[in-house]
Amino acid sequence: MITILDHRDSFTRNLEHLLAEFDKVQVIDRKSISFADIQASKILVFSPGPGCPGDYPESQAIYQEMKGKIPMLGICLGFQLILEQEGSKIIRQNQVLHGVESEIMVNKKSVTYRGVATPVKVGRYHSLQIDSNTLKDLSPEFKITSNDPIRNVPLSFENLKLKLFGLQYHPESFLSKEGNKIISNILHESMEQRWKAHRSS
Amino acid sequence: MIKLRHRILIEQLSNLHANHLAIQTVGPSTQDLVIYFDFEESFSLESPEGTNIWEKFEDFSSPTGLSFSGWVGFFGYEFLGSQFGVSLKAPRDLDLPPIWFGRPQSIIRLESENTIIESTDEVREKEIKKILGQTIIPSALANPQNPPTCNLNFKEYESIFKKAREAILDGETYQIKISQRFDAPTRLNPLAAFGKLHKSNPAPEAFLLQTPSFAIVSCSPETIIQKEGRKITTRPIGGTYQRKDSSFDGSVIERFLQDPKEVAEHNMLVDLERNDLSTICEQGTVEIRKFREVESYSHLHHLVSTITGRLKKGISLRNIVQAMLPGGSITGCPKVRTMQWIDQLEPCFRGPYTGSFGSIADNGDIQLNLIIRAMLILGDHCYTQAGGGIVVNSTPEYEFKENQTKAQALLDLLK
Repeated sequence: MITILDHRDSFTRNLEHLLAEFDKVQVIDRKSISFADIQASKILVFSPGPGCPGDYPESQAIYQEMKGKIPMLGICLGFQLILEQEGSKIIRQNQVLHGVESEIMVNKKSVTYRGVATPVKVGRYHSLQIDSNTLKDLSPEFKITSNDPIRNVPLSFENLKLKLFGLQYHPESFLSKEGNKIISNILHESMEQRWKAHRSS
Repeated sequence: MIKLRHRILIEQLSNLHANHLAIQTVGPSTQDLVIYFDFEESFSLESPEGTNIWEKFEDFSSPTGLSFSGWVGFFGYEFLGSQFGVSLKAPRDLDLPPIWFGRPQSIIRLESENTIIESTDEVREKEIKKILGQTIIPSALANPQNPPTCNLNFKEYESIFKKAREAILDGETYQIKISQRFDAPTRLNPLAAFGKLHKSNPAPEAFLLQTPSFAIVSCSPETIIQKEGRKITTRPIGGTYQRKDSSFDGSVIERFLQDPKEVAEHNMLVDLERNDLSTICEQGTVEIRKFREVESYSHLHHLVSTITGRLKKGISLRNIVQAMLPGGSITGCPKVRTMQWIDQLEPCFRGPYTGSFGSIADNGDIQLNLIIRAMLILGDHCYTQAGGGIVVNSTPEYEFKENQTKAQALLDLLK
């Protein structure tokens, strides 16, 4: 079971359909999610949503509570939420992008982009960004895996030790042709041990 | 059923002297119309929060046996908002029901060369045929007293625009639709207005809804829900260019398709509509069938996509309405937060504007549009509302002018 913690976004259901290609998915509002819902999941996905992470104290608390106990993936707002909790700051972007297909610079050696066809083009919907000057405040286990090729905007991260992942862009957008592969990489990695157990049984 | 081997004129319907009358555009051509009247049962609501209406739609106990058996009417924007879970507080400054639906007992179909009359009562069928054969008593279209006024002048619009833009920069909304309302102290004949509009600006979702207390005349281009069996289709429109002279269509359309602002706006809408369909459709069935096609109308070009899906089993009318409405192209994105912003920023409620008109058949088939490009006729006044999407690189001058352009086909009726 994959659980999406929803921030009442208008793209959550696209994400649900994308994730449903890999496992059963439940979408639960951030205000009504229970500990049992989270415990039943192999990975907890923080949905996109309007505003900034500070608007969602419940989600921030869930992240802190579950960190290290369960794999987690943040999309857009969720990406910002995790990195802000880890010490970076959020600022307005110089160039706001909504509904824009953009080619991004990826680390092909990262788990997130393993086997992903280049050039990687993704759909972006964000006004805010992680301030790249504050990335130094993150613990070294957080690796930035992609960037905007023109402006210094971090666009994804992975923390393989704690099985935490984040994408600033929208893998579920029809503009993200490699969205399925990227999600597949993240899910396989976050379920690695279960995956191995499953394969050897 | 009586079939006449010619197509009657819309004006001839005035001889029916119907209290309630609806006209819907159906099928791929903009010319095929269905006229619904002799409403036996109808209902409206006092407040947008009423919820027991869904049972009425699911009562199939009295089928009419006509080629259409079901409900015809409209949902207002505020009602749809409340069903979606967003309570809207803008002042209801016009006296209108939040929704109205009725069950027609008589139908006239206007096809290219035929007129088909159907009624539950055979005597009535013959009577309708006779009435339609009578000479038309010409009625004046409008009696303009004064030119229309708008509820927002440029300065006021600009001030709202700036707040909307700040909200975009903060990530509160990615795109927000802000509208203006034009008010003319003019008495307009609804049927004559529909006839004129249908000639000057035929559109795939044009309609008329006439009741004793109000009427809506529209040349809406946008289908929000087309459901046949378990197949559901939506045709979102996002992106607008002015059309001043059709001889420049080729180069204007080329520029339109390459305009990054229009393209981004449309992309966002496609993802939003995919999302709404995904709420009610089986996983893996939501598909973009046609992407970013240009449709041209009398004053405008639009970008349109067609997205389809296969409904999950057990999905009800209520589930469909809650998932798809209000339509994303008239709110912006993401819907919930953006609708709250619209409610704060716009000076008046929307009522039928950006609600949905159409037909809901007893067999479950649905055709619902978005009520845009519409004139609301209420007593001695006419109102038309027009709005556009504000995105980060919009300019207030351009958007203000575009709203005027969108209202123009309707304002032309008042001349």
